[in-house]
Amino acid sequence: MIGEDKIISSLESLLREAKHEATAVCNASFSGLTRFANNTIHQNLHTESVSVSIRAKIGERIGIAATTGLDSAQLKDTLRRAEAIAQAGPPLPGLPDLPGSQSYAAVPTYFQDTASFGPMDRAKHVKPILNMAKTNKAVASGLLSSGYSELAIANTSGLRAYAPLSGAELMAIIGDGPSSGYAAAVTRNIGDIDGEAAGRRALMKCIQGKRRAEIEPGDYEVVLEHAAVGDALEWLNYIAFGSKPYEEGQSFLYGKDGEKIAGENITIRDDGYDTGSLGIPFDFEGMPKTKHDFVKNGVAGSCVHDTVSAARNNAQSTGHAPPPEEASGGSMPMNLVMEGGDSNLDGMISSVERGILVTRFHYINGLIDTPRAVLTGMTRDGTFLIEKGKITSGLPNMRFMQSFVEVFNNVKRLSADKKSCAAWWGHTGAYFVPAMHVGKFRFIGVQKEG
Amino acid sequence: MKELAQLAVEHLQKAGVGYADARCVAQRKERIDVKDEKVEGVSDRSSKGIGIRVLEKGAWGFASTSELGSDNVIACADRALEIAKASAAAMVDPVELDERPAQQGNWQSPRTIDPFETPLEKKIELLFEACRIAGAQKGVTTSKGNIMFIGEDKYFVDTEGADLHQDILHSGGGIEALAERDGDVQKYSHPNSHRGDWAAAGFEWIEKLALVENAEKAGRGAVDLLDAMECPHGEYDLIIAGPQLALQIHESCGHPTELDRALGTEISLAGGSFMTPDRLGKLQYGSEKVNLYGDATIEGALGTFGWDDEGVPAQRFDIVREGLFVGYQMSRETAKALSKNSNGTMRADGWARTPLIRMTNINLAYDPDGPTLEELIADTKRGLYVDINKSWSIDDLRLNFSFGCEYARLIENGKMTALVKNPVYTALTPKFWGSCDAVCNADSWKVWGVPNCGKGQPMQTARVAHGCGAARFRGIQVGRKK
Repeated sequence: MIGEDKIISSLESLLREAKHEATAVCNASFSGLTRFANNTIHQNLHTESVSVSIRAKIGERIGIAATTGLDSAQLKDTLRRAEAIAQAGPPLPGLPDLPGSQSYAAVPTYFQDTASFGPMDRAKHVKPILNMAKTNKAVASGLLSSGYSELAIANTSGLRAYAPLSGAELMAIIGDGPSSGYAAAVTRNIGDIDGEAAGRRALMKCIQGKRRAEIEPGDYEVVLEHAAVGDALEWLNYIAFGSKPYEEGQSFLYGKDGEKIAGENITIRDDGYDTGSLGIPFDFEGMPKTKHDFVKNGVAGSCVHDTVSAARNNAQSTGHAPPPEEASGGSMPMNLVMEGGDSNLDGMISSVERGILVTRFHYINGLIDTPRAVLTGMTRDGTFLIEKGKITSGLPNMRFMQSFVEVFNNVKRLSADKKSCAAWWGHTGAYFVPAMHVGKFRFIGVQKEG
Repeated sequence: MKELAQLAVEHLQKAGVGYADARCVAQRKERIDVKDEKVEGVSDRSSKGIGIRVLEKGAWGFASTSELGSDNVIACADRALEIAKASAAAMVDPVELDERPAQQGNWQSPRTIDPFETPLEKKIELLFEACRIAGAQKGVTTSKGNIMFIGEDKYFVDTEGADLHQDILHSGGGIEALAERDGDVQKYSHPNSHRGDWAAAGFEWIEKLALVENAEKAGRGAVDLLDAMECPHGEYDLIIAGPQLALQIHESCGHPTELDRALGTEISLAGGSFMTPDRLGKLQYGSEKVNLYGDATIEGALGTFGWDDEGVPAQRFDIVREGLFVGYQMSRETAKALSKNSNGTMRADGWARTPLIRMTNINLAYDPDGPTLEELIADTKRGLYVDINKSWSIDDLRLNFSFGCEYARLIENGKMTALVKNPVYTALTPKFWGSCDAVCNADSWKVWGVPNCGKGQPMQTARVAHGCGAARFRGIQVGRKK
């Protein structure tokens, strides 16, 4: 670990060289990943990367430059590049002043055991999964990652923010012919990861799906497990909750602020203080995160903001600035939480006369009709037929095309328990979601050759 | 930089490893995004580091670092070896590499105008002008433009004697107009969606894209779509234009013929492939009109290079010949598993990632005796012409796919008629390519750059390309059932 003192002092030395206002963001990442397939470890990696992004601000002009490492000469050169870009660019009218010193709530973001978890440790955790698959003449694939990063932000107005962020993710898929099962976990604390339990769950689903049934596309009652809900929410986040889709009228929330758009059981928010969402207390401008409702008891809210989009919309920053390299994409929620209900997975399944249990989705795309939040994608690694309240057989993977505005008006039950699902942005957040029982869900195709 | 790569490899050679390679990469990315004549972001990012791969007792280890002091590089090499030993603890069959002559040399991609030396003001003004024109069309609510340049200076050294230097420059850009009315949002891009069109070239490529000259068309296109008819639901003959066909090739031919995926090593992310090794030379993938090939030697294309990241020279190879599945994209390790030789498709996303099999330029050959696009339309009684990708999704075996496009035109009795919005089509890969009854001649054939191909864990982004013209597919399911 480089440590707060060294990183902040490097950034402060840099900012003393600034001819104008400036913000520096350092992301030092130390991460390992063990990937397995065909019952063996086939990729095993470790990456150490220190990157510094500098956003120079000259009046209402902005320039961003970035480099790797903390070498002072290199950083100074990068600062000059950022200033030159700002100098050459046109002004952004209304650009606010840089925020000053902020205070942050304490959020547990770092566990030493996760940070020091090495390749041999990962191999030990993965081995039971590989052995379980071999014993059952099945095939295991997946990954176990572990590591940490240090995120530090400083600006010329006195703001200083630092957080060490540990993270670990396990994914296990066990397959046997057309049947496969899945289990996954993401956490800041490696102690929460149980490779053997994940393997057992993936294997159990794989075995359960060996008895096969055929099915025709159509409208079905569905039970979406936590992972499937997390998969859907990831795309809804992309097409609806940040400032960009909202300002462009593409979000299903656009123009609906205060209107009832979903069932009363639907509440979705960003919460940087929830450990289940791998929360961190500040964004990439160093602004404290606020809890923000996108949908509360079925009533629409609006999008989140960073300081730039807030200024454009005569609003306040909600603490959702993205990493500097993603700045042109606008503000970005990273700690999505969906409220649960009072049911559980078994209860949901037992209440279905004829329907489909979906373990997870695959390759969702939500750009077809964003104002109606139409998503298409496939089911994967555990699609089951439910008959008379019981899982009776495995089904082929199915293609769905479904408006999630309609889904959110047709949710019969939500589980009380929530699970963390990994997000693409790694250590700075996750989706924390319940399982969901939906009255009607449209499938338009089945996986087959012809 | 070369010395650092050599230092790592010599250190590992002394340690007696079976095989090791090191890539030292310096990358520079300049990205400019504008929206409604305001700069959304201008960034200039530099990154430098080393990635070291070790094969020890048949197991892989990889480590990378951005800290390039000699001690750090040695520590990184040791860590790669330590990781390889950890991998060996759960090894089933030892990895073997194919035999290939180690090469030495330099390679540079073509460029005329250095984009990093082109004044920033000029680049921004070009996008502003395009946005001004697109935004001036009545009904346009948002106009956007982007350009991006990526330069990569890369040294590759291995324990077999390879010593390679490559200087690769990629440039790309595009514009898009959005029109919103009563909850309907329509988009029209030029020359393609998802950050436009790309090539291995300098700033001259951006000038060639004619963003300003096509801005009015983009603006009008988006507004016209608001009043267009919704995509009908049913079976139609589909004529797919180049930009969309490029992504169709990407998802339903490029990815399933990556041999690592076909051997099951990508299951934990995007899945496997229905094109398994036992079907090589046997599977009728498409009609006899379908000829697909990889070619990393096309001058100026985005998937072109001198050598891949295992030091294997760029080359051309067949994937589908007259509809028959005949070849994979292969690495040294996967090729050996099939008793073949690598065809040079291993690439890594910068210094921090390990190489994976990545598409190069995966192309649909034009039919020298085929029709022009106009002739193909004239020959179609009831069809839909679709262009510019909007959405994409395909299953974990690359069989069941769904694509959405920005716009379509009905074809009735050989003529393009009504404008169609929200077109989507869905099909099964072998059935779809089997329904291809016409591929256009060279007139409409062009290489389209795809700058954002995702694969691997951690996720890697590759820049690849697809050469194609328009082609026709009979009886494809289109539209959404209400």
